[in-house]
Order: sequence, then C-alpha cells, then structure tokens
Amino acid sequence: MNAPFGHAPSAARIDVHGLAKTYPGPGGGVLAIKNVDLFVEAGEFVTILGPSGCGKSSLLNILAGFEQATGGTALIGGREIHGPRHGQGVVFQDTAALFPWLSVHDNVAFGLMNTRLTRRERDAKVRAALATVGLEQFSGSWPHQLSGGMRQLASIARVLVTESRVLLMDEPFAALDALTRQQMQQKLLHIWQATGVSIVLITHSVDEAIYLGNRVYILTRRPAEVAAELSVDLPYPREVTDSAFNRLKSIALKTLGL
Amino acid sequence: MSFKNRLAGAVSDTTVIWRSIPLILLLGLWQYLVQVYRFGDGFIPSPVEVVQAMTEWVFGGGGRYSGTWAASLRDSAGRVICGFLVALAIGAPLGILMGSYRVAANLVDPVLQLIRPIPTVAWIPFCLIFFGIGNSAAIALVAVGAFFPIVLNAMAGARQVSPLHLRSALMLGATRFQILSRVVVPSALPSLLVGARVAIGLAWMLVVISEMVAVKSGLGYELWDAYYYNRMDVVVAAMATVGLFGFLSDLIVQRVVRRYLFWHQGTFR
Ligand SMILES: Nc1ncnc2c1ncn2[C@@H]1O[C@H](COP(=O)(O)OP(=O)(O)OP(=O)(O)O)[C@@H](O)[C@H]1O
Ligand SMILES: [Mg+2]
Repeated sequence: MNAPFGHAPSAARIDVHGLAKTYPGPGGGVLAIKNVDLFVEAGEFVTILGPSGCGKSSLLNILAGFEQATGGTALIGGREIHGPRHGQGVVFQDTAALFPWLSVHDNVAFGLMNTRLTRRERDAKVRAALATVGLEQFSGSWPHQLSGGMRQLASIARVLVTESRVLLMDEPFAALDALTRQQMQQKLLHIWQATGVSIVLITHSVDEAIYLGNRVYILTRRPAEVAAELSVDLPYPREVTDSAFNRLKSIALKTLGL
Repeated sequence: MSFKNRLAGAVSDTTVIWRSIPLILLLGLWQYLVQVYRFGDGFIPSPVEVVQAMTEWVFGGGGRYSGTWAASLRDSAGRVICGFLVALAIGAPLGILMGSYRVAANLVDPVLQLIRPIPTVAWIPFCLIFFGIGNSAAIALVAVGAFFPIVLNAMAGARQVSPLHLRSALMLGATRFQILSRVVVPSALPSLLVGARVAIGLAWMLVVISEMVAVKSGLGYELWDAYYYNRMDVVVAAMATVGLFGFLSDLIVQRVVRRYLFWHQGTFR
C-alpha cells in the first residue's frame, strides 16, 4: 500500500525543486528554507516532520500560495503556484479557521460559491462532504458549538467539497488533546482512503508522521533542508507498538538528533 | 447565592424588586421635598405634577401643551431614524473600505481627523444655511454626529478581520469582492454595532439640541418652549420622554446585536 492507489481524478502531484525562502529583514533577513526537494504523487499521503521553527509552515504556505518562494520551483499538477486558489486546499492548525458567522453547512458551501450548481446540487455536495468526515448531524450547528476536533473535521470538509487537488495540512491536530488527536488521525486516514486526495501533512510528532504517511520527509533545523526520506511500508491501520514501526521511529529520532 | 445567580446568568423576580426600591424612594423623596418644603420655590415640579402634565400632553385636555406629544415624538423620532440611517449608509461602507484598503484610509482619514474634533453642534449654522430651518437641517445634524462613531468603528472592525479567515476565503476561491462582502463585512459587524449604539445615543441628543435651537417642532422644541412659558412640569415630561425613547432605541440596537451576533460570543478574543 505504499504506492498511491485509486486516487481521485482531481488529485494532483506536487513537485518541489531546490526551494528556498528568505524573509526580508535587517541583516539579510531570515533564511527559513535553504534547499528543499520533495515530491508527492497523486493520491499519496506525505508527512513532513521537523524541529520547531525549522520552516515547516513556510514550506506549506508556499505550496498554498500564501507565500512566495525566493528560490527554486514548486509545482502542483505540473504548474507553477501563483497565489492561493481554489484547488489548493488548506487545513490550518488554528481551530478558529472556520467562519464563525456561518453555520457548518454554509462554511462547507463557501467553496462552492463560484460554481454553476443549482442549490439542490450544492446542498447534495455539502451533505456528501459532511458525511465523509462524519459530521452530517451537525450541518445546522455553528462553529462555536463544535469541539476542536469537530471543527477540524469541518475544515477538512470545506476543502473536500471543492474537489481540491491537494489537501495541505499544517499541524492540524496540534491544538487537540492526545485522545482526540488519535481519533482524528484514524478519521483522517479514513477520509483519505475514501477520497483519494493527495495530502501533505506537517507535524512535529514522530508518531503522527509515521502513523499517517506513505512517506515521511524529515527536515533539518532552520534553515530547512531534507535530512532524510522514509518510506513507511506498513499496512494501514498501523500499530505504534509494532517493531517495524519502532525501527522507523528510532531512525527518525536519530535523524532529528534526539 | 448571588454568585450562583451570576453563574446561571439569571435575573430573578426578587432582583427586579430590589432594583426598583431606590427609584421609588427617590421619587417619594422628590415629592416630599417639593410638597412639604416647597423645594425649588415652585420652579421644580413634583412627580405628581409631572404625571399630570404628561397626561395632558399625551391625551389632551386644554392648555398650551395639549395632545401634541405624539406628533412631537413622531417628528423627533423620524429625524433620529433618518439621520441615523444616513450616517449608517455612508459611514458603514466608507469605514469598511478604509479598514480594508490602505489607499482609502490614507485618502479619507486625514479629513476625518481634521473634522472630528469639531463639536457636532458647531455645525448647526451650516446645517441651517444648507438646509433651511426644518426637518432636513435636524436630520443633517444628527447624521453628522452619528457618522463618526459609525465610520470609525466600521474601520476598526474591518481591520480586525482575521488573516486566517482571509486565507481561508482565498484558498476556497473567493473573489476580492466576495472577500469584502462575505468575510470583511461580517468580521466588522460586532465593532460596527458598538458604533451604532453610540451613534443612536448621540442622535437623540443632537435632535433635541437642533430642535431647541433651530427647528420649530419636536420634543426639543416643546421642551424649550415650555421653559420659556415657565412650565417646568412639561420640561420634565419632555426630558422623561427623550430619556425613555433613547433607552428604547438602545434596547433595539442591543436586540439586533443579539439577534445577528449570536455567533460572536466565545469567538471574540
Ligand atoms: N512572515 C514572516 N516574516 C519573517 N520571518 C518569518 C515569517 N514567517 C516565519 N518566519 C521565520 O521563519 C522561520 C521558520 O518559520 P516557520 O513558521 O516556517 O517554522 P515552523 O517549522 O512552522 O515552526 P513551528 O514549529 O513553530 O510551527 C522562523 O525563524 C520564523 O521566525
Ligand atoms: Mg508552523
């Protein structure tokens, strides 16, 4: 199951070559990313692991189009990234990313605003997306009525409904408690297998990276470079107590210098 | 026990009784001082006299201030509403644009800052010259006064829009205009309604002043007229009317806030 399987027709591959990012500032600015090469096959689940402050969010923000690279290339579906757009779906770490003035249904429908769909078709899509993440009963709720985990699920649904080519997730479960976090990881795998979308997930949890990814990229301290790439040849659902799992874990920890 | 009530957010029946005690005592003391000690040498009406004047003013019964209350209230309230709506119609979009686009802020803000320190009542001569003695002058004055809290709060609200929500809208494919109308406007709403609440209070104040000084109808006009005719009972009745309706309009704004900003509680940080 290492190879991507049955990916969604809309799922795109990502190619990053020699990526660099310097934030302007005094004394030459801050070099956040030095030189990153990576790829994500269509429908693949790739996790990116790195020490805190190494430039993980910068990398994701470049893929999302929120930030511009200062060197190298980043392609989604073979095309250069020009700014944020429909199809480059992002799930943020902050659970306040839903629009608090819209119901869960309307939050999910937001991304369908500029499609030529009848109201009926739109509602059907919203319902399907909410069903995929298991929130169909909460369609009429408001974000402030949902738990943190449920808000992240709704955030995933609002991206899925757009048939996004990629799902970019920046520490989506970091704000959640340990138990909820494990449940969310299982749900995310489920969602991924149901939709076949390409996923890039950033985390600083070694367990999470190995539990979720087909492959794991491990980044160095800032300025970020790829320190290692691990293929996780384990079937889902994975066992964190498994010996193969722990072998990978010790490699990852060693790479991180721990 | 009071802590318990507070936690539950409850207003019990006994609270209402407790809260009315000082009011009743105050009215009783006032009546007593005026009636027994002739407090104010006959210039200060007693509560009973005010109620009598109010009854005559509302329902008629002869005299100078007979049955004109409703018409005056309608005139004043009409000016308050019109002036407030004009201020809202200009101030809210302008403030949101200023909060969203630096260019707009740079163009408009210096002018606003220049005009804002001028007390609104100082505009009365200009209002009269432009609009003549009448409705429009009063509406214009109310609009000028109500404009500032609305425009400034709309601007502050638009600036508070969360970058997270802007990014969310962008990655979901919203156009610039959609971001303005569907993200910035709702984000600015809580602050805008705070401004609206301040504005409606100012509106009542300004309508009374304009009617006292320039416009020959409305509650402020009757109040000033009653002062000249030494009818302090009617003056107090007019004060009470303005106070009551100022209070009611504030209540309406609060209702609107609660109706449309229910999502806001708990998300405001
Ligand atoms: N907009 C910005 N302007 C200037 N410097 C920035 C900006 N964003 C990030 N940086 C700097 O770039 C470096 C990498 O930041 P980034 O947020 O990408 O790291 P991260 O790996 O996501 O960190 P964390 O583990 O805290 O999430 C940091 O030193 C940070 O201070
Ligand atoms: Mg980060």
